[in-house]
Amino acid sequence: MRPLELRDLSAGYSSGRRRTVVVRDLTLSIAPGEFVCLVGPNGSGKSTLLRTIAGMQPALAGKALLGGSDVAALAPAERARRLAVVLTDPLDIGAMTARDLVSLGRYPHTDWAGRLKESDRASVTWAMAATGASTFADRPVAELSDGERQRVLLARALAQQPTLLGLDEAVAFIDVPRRVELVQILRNLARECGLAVLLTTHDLDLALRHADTLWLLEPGGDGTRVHAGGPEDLVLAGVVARAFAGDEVTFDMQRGVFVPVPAMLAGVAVSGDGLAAVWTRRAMEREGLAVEESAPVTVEVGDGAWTIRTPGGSSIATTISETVAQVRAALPDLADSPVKQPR
Amino acid sequence: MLIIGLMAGYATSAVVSVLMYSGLGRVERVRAYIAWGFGSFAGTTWSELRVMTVAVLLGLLIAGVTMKPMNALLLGDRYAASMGLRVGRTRLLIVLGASVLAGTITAFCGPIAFIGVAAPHLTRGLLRTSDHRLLIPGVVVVGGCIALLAGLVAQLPGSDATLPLNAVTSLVGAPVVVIILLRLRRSPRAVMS
Repeated sequence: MRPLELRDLSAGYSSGRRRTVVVRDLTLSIAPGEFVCLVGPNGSGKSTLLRTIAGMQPALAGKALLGGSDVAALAPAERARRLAVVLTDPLDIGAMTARDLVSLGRYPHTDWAGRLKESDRASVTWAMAATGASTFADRPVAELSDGERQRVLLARALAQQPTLLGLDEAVAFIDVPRRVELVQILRNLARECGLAVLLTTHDLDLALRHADTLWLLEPGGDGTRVHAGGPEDLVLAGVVARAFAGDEVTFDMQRGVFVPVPAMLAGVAVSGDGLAAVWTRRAMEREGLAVEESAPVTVEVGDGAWTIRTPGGSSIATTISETVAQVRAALPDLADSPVKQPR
Repeated sequence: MLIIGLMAGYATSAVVSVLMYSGLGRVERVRAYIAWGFGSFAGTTWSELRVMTVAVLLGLLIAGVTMKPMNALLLGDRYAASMGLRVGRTRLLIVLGASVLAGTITAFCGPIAFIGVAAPHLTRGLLRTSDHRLLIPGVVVVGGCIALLAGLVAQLPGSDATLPLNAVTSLVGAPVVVIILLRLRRSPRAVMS
């Protein structure tokens, strides 16, 4: 039995007789232990799809099955034992410690008064340990940082003991190292506990590095299309580049990141090895210069020194910032015309 | 919600005015109404108390069974729903419980202002918790204490005169609510913590 199956599911909004379909006819599933990232540009319908799966808004057509049962037909308490969520809703919960908040996750398992049994306490403690939230268990939630609060919210969802975990932009607004840690926690939970995890994110880089499977939403004139597959397969198929393409950026297939479209007004050649050369090339791209094999202006990366050679002569810089400034001076037409040529 | 409440209040007082005006022939009933409007714990008879006890116990029972859902609602409607709560049904039950409790006391003791507003905030501040399993019994005790205190002050110790209960609670309560609102404006969490 799969934790999640979508059968011809269409999600969107309906008010009165008007229906706005955001995603159409999805047939997808998540296996136990699978970490799926639902990615797409802003406004492509990630949250709408997640809310439909969670039964928070009705499906426009088709079904979402949680553990084999239609989410629309499940009793709320039973649904809560199969799916737990981390949402973007703001919290204003007053005087409550992190442990109290995590304990609320036991809601579908406790009696009418919400008393915690020994087994409930054990699973709260486990959830906090699994998310690294134990160290601030007794601090008020209002005093936690964004990253710590997300861990507590994740622990709350885990304490619910679901088979599927749905997270809406749960790693946004956290600094990058904390974000990577949090995603690593999600991945380990999937692997070690057989939990199915569905994370919506607009952070493509993160999804490409950590997800077992990508569900990629590609907005188009005739509605959003969904591509599912391994991250690397989708990159090779060119789907990633297409879904996120814009006039100002292009997807670098070698490195798997989006870079600014080079202005193409001038090229620059960078020679040298090592990290310094890598970051010098990045600096040139940031300036909107095309890094080419050979060009009138070349930069030689040496040991703590950058030699800029132009047809008119050469100069030495000691930092990348200085190098950028000197290259810019050598290419005055670039500085004068910030307007880029159409691709 | 505030506007709806205000409109409901206006509509009710309009109906009351019409009733008073048309019932002018029976002056003693209008006088009884005005006396009721001052609020008093002294005018309740033992037979009335029996009805009141049953109604209050019913209200407390409803408050008791909604303790756990109210804790879940601290996280917001959507989180509460995701934990298996039927939000609409629960909210209706909570409103019903509050109405039974407030309505019963108002019917027998008159409109006594501010205890209902002040007691929950005071209890939250005293107990430093958001857990309704502690807050609800706490509010019962704190609210009872405030009511008793207001009753004592209304009897004017050392004299036979009595003040209207509603005037006592309003004189103390109005500044409390203003202070709460000012703190609320300074920091959105101050009133909760």
